[in-house]
Amino acid sequence: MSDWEYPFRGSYILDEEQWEEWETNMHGVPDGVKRGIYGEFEVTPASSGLVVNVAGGVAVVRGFYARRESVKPLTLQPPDTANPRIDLVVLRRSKSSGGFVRMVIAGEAAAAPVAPVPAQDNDNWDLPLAEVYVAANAQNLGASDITDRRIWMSGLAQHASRHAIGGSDPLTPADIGAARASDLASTQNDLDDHKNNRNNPHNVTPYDMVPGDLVARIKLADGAGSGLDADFLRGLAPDAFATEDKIDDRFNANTASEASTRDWNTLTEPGVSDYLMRSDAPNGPPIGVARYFYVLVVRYADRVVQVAYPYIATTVDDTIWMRTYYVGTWSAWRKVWDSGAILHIAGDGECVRFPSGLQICWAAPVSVEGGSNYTWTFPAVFFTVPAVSGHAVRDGDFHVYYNVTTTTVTWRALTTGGHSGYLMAIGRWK
Amino acid sequence: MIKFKKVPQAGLPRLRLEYIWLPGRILVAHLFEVERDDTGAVTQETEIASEEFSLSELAPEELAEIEVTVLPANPIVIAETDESGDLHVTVVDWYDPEYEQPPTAVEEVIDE
Repeated sequence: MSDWEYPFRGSYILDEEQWEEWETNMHGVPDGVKRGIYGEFEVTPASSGLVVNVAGGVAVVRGFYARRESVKPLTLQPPDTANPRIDLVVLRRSKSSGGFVRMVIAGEAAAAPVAPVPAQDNDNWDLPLAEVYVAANAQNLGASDITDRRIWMSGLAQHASRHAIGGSDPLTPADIGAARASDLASTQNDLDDHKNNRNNPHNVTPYDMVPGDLVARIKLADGAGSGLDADFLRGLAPDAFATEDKIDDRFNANTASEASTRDWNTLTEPGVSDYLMRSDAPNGPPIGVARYFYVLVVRYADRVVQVAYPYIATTVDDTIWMRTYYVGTWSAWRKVWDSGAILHIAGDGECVRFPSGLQICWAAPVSVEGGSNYTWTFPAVFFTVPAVSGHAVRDGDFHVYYNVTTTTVTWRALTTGGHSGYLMAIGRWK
Repeated sequence: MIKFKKVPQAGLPRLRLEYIWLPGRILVAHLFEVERDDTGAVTQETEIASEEFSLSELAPEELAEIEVTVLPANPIVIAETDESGDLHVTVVDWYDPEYEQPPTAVEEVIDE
């Protein structure tokens, strides 16, 4: 090599090498096929046989220009019988031949064949156009057997396609500094967190706060014992009060067997039962028969009041009882109400039975002849022999009572003539 | 002949009387305790006492003097014989005034 410069007076391009040097370095037109002219040297399979058609086109290779206006069919070598191969279709610039030629470089058959390497030496420089897959024993070619390997002369479109979606080196949003969707979502979350952070330095108005936030803030300023806290009543939690569940726990006697055996002395927890205790259970109200009662228990410290209410207010036994527990001792039951009240009984005369057990009977007027007896059967029997009295209607009559029993009394007139009188008996009926 | 009469009387609480005549003018009074449910219906009757009253020794026109030893009350209002020797006996027919109306007085004649 010797020094060379061009164009100056007395300097010339004397051969292909100087032209190649001049063009590649001075103009830098890249090797490739010119788009949009003729068939752009596109390689397609022929209709039959191992033949490809290479379209016409314009191309530049190492500063040398080629134009082909017509299609050139190229016949491939026969296929291998065992393995496929890949042939390379090229546009070859040949200095020694003084021009361009469209040709096929046959590949080596192999189980995993590779395309031949294009010639790129001082004489021959191949511009790859397509790779052709030749299957073992192939007789024809299809479009899928052709892989386009053209390089475009301008380079810009090729470059664009290389970085386009689906290209060999597609650009990503990150490559051009764009935010990814996940980044945007993360940023949105950050913004939301910031917005919901009540401690952020921005002004947060009451309208920005949820009710719970406002209540919490009010409680902070209000303090205990304000009465604003609805979770408590008089400073006590709800389970400190008598609820149905708690009463069930405490009385737990809502079956007949339990009600008849549960000792009334065990009912000391305050509350109102919604089921029954029975009077014949230990320490129950002394009504003499088995009757069911509801129980109210009131307690202050170790002092207890029990009040027993009847189950059904329709029987003679419907009574309300109470007793107290004080200084370790239960009082006797006291009847505070009796539905029996006053019973009026009619018969031979009348009787009145009072809840306390008092019974008063009277008969008026009754008549008897002097010297005779009148046996009065009390309309209601007495529990014990009653006291009997009475008076005569007529002045001067004398009479006497005798043979007084719990069921009868005999009244005898002592004076002659007819006697009329009023009789009365007072005693207990229970 | 026995003329037997039952007159209604409000009885002692939860007690009821029944009478049976045995040969020889012997009257037997049976006392039952009556249990009722909350509606007042009788659920059980249990005999808790009985007492015999022998009235066979009464002479004509004699009034019996009755004293009870078992029963809580004397159920016989009067027991006497008439001049022909017939026995007239009146007893109380207890009912519970809380639950029952007074029964109708019943008189029956018993041929001996």
